Amino acid sequence: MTDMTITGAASFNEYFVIIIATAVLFLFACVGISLYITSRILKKYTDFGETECSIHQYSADGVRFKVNKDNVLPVEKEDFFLIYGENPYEKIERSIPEQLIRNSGKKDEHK
Amino acid sequence: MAVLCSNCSGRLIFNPASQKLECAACGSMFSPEDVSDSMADVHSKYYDTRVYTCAHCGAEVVTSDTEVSTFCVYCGNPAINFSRIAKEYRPDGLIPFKITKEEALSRVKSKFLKNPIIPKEVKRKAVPENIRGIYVPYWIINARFTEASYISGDVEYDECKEKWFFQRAGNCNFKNMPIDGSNILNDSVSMKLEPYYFDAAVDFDEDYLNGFYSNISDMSYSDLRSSAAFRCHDFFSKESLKTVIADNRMVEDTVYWIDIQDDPLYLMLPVWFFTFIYKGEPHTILINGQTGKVVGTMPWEKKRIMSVFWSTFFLVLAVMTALFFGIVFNLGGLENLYNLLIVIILIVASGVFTSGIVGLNKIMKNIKLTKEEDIFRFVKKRQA
Ligand SMILES: [Zn+2]
Ligand SMILES: [Zn+2]
Repeated sequence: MTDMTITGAASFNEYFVIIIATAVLFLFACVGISLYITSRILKKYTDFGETECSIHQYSADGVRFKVNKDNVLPVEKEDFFLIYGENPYEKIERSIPEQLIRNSGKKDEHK
Repeated sequence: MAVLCSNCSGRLIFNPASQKLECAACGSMFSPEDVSDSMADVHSKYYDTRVYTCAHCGAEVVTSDTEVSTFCVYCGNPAINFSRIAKEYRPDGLIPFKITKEEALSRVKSKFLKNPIIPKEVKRKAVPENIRGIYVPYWIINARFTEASYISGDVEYDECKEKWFFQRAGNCNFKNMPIDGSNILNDSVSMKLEPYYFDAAVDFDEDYLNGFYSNISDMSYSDLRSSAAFRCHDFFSKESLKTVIADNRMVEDTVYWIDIQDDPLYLMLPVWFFTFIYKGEPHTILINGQTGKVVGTMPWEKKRIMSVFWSTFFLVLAVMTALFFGIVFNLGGLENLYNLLIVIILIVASGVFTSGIVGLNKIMKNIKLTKEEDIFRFVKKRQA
């Protein structure tokens, strides 16, 4: 301390500032790099790779598009849903497993 | 109900490794098809079940075993009581367990237990007593599906962004799509257990259930329809969004219809449940009993994330210090090298710092504790 003050106040301040600045930068760099490495490690350990099946698991040919229009006007929306707003399978009667029928009955009882 | 060994009258349990019924007392092995249970009538539409109910969460579980679990596989509570003997409809078939309990456990271990952020206490809970095999009811459907969706997105046009609208409508046939048939298991979780391979399915035989639990499908036909329609809709939206070339694509409005073909198949699919309690909260990890796929998230500790950070920090500090002094003293030139070094450190550090912070934030948001409400929908609300 005393030695440095003798060599001159200006150079002491200069050195002091450089040392502090370097130390701060150095720590900043260390924290930065460790943060980065930590995030990479965590990413590896929190990515459990849980994937859901794609459509091709359950559909051989995927979706067949009948309407494929780009840049439609907002006013066309209503007409579009008017066409598709009706259940195409409405009148089809299906046979239902007894278990499901019984469960529906149970639900009604509760109501 | 429970079939007994013809050699010694011991209890028979299905072993996934041998795919045979094994006598715990004398070691005799039998094929499930060969064992005939004098009490059961294979031509009957029904089979007898012993239903146990959890007094805590209301979950129901079925077993033919006289020896019953000491805790509820859904909520981890020991308040499980015999409730009744019930006649249930025989399912059409089942996929027998292929993965043994030991294999399921080692899958869980290799997936989670080397992970530094998972508390040690959890690792100690990965023992065979905490793992139970459950046959989960599923409906396997074939369906026709029609959907119309109205999609919006930002399109670059004459160097400025414009909001465009897109119309997509079409249909799709689905085949052998499994729909989770119990209301308690959340569909988003059960879907992650897939795929199941149905070529391994066998005709329903209650002998396969020996040593395991099962659930009975408690959903109604309209539940099945809405679950199935929602799942098809999910597939359809993903496909239709793929055909739209724009940024910020969004399905604005949609209408969809489903036609489930006659008589969906009622199948029991094998799932291992690893249930444990950590800090008073129950957690469950599910393992596909046919393929061994592990689903679920583990609790983690902030403390352990901090320790990962600090250990990398000191490592980085040591390496950086060595590098720093090495460069400074070996090359001697303090003056010009110093400035250069400072500039380099500053640039690298600020870049790495921000990406570190951003990455960490993203991860902290994504990892959350396995809240049981996310996996199960309990009948009763859990009391504090
Ligand atoms: Zn025996
Ligand atoms: Zn319970």
